Amino acid sequence: MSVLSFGAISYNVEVVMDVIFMVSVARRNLAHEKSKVAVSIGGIVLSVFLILTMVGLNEAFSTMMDDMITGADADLWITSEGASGSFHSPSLLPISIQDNLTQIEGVSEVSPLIRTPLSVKINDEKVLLYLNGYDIETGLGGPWSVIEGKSEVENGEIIIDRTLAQKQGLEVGGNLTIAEKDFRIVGLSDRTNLMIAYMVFMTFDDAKTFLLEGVTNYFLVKVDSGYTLAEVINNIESSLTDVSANTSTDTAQAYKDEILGGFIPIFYLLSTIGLLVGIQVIGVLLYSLTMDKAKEYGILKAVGATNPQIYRIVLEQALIVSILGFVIGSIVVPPLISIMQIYVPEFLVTITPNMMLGVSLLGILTGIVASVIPVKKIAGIDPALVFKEA
Amino acid sequence: MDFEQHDDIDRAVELYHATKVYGSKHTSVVAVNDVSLHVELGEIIVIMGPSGSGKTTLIQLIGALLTPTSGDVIINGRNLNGLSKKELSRIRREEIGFVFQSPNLLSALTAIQNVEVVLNLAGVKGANARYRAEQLLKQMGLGERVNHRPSQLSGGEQQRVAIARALANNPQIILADEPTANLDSKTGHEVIRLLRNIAKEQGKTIIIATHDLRIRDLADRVLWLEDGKISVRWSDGFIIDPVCLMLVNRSSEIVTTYEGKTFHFCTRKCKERFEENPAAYANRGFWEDLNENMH
Repeated sequence: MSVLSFGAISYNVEVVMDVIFMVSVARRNLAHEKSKVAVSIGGIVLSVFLILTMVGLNEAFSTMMDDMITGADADLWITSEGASGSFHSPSLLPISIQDNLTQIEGVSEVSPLIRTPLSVKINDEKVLLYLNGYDIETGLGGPWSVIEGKSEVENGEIIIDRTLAQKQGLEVGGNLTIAEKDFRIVGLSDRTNLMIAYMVFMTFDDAKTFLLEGVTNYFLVKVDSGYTLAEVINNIESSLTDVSANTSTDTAQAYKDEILGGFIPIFYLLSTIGLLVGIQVIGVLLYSLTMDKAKEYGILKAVGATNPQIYRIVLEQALIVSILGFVIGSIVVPPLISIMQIYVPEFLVTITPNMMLGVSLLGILTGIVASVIPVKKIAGIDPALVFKEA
Repeated sequence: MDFEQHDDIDRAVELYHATKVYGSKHTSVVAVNDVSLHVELGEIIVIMGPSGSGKTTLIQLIGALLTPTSGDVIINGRNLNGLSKKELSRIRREEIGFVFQSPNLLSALTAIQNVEVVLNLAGVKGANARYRAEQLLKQMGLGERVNHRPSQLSGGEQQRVAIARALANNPQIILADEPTANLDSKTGHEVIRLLRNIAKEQGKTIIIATHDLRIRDLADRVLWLEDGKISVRWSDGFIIDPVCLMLVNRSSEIVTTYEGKTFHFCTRKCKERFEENPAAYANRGFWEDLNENMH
């Protein structure tokens, strides 16, 4: 085994040394066509921008949906039956069932939560808020990522999304009027910009003035340590009619499915378009380089280069351009997005190391795919071509 | 001449009834017609003939770039018929060196890299390849030009790089197709001198297809190819262009008269050059000698 391993290492070292110490026609060809290569790399960077933006938007919203549910720190979410509680299918529950819930076996704590959209005018501009009224006694459903000010509210106080503050010139210590009721801004929260609405946090008592009398949207449940989530869900659904109990994970998934479900195909489509643009850009460059140098490939064939040796040149060219493009794109695009977010705070994009790895792999894949047509062209080049005068 | 097949290892090239036909049926053209030929190791053969006589096709057959429609081509004792593309590539890479009409260098590479890349293809890499390429270029008198790109070299220098490239893998056979056609008289002579030195000093088998009469002096044997067939002697139908000294068909319509004599030209460019200063070309004594000697 060790002999085999040493053999493989020795072979690989030999291959690497060969590559280092042989004349690279691919690299020289590219160095000879600097302007074409520069334009192509520019195209690939744009392609990376499109891909990272789309995937990053999806990631940002997906994470935010998770935070909206898991950040509430509840084990179970209780909704009216058939409603996920999202914008599209609001849940309404009578506040009176809180006592019933508290008495169910396995339930240790129950808190009501209001989450409802509300259109308001701020600085004469119509703004959609997503009110989050939580029980300040338990803290369940409160803000999960406060970046400035207090992380808890009292009656008459409000924590608002930071992008809303940035856009409307609001700040901690200032006031915000919602439906003729004044709130003092006590904190700013992050990752609470839903693109179509901004989350704001207030006490349950303040929030219920914006909802029908005697109702709430959810109950958040903490489960006793001696019970499984499934057992308690079963207990709740068998004790109360017209309610659904779901774990935080399932509720988050339902949220994502409903809110992002319509957007995800668009994200994927645009990401695919970005990728295709990248392949097209490299493909055009390689095709043009191949055709410009068709006779030179014929010369190489005439002097004894085999087809695989020539394919390697084309593949090397493709990989150099694509990897260079994707690496430069990966370096340039994240700070570019950060700069854009300063001017457009709603532009929520999250870029993760996995995405960067994915983009790098895409670079390699793009290079391989883009080299297919030029390789086919080269296969058809007749080495006898070199006997025709230039 | 006896053209029986036999295993004679002293023969670098053997052709037995080699025929190459392009196209098919009504559109077919016989470029090489039933040619049988032996070339010994170290021998220099010049194949002459007018344009379209099949010289280049014959070189391509010998160079393992084309396969004959019928007949056999044997290189260093190995029949090329039935060999795989990979094996034909290996023969071209290791056993044959090519010098083309145009230098055909890779434009993105320097002179030394153009030679090195052929060595790399044959598995010689790194410092060994670089040293060998450098030595060859020095032999060609290009020691100071190794790091220049083709566009920075003159036509003669480019052709010398091409010759160095042809010699890189130390092949036994050098095939040259019109190696002086694009060169001026002085540079053409330089290339001829180089080929002569290579033949004498390195004992290579050299086969040159040309219609440049100056190359005749280089040859152990001169073969005349006309209509795809090898003839024993010159055809009466050819005459020498007084400007470039190439063979021209007497039926060529590119002609002019000067002092009562008719002059034939290979191209209109030669004719124009002649007409700019006819005395300088028409009165060159050797022109008539060449024409007389040719027949």
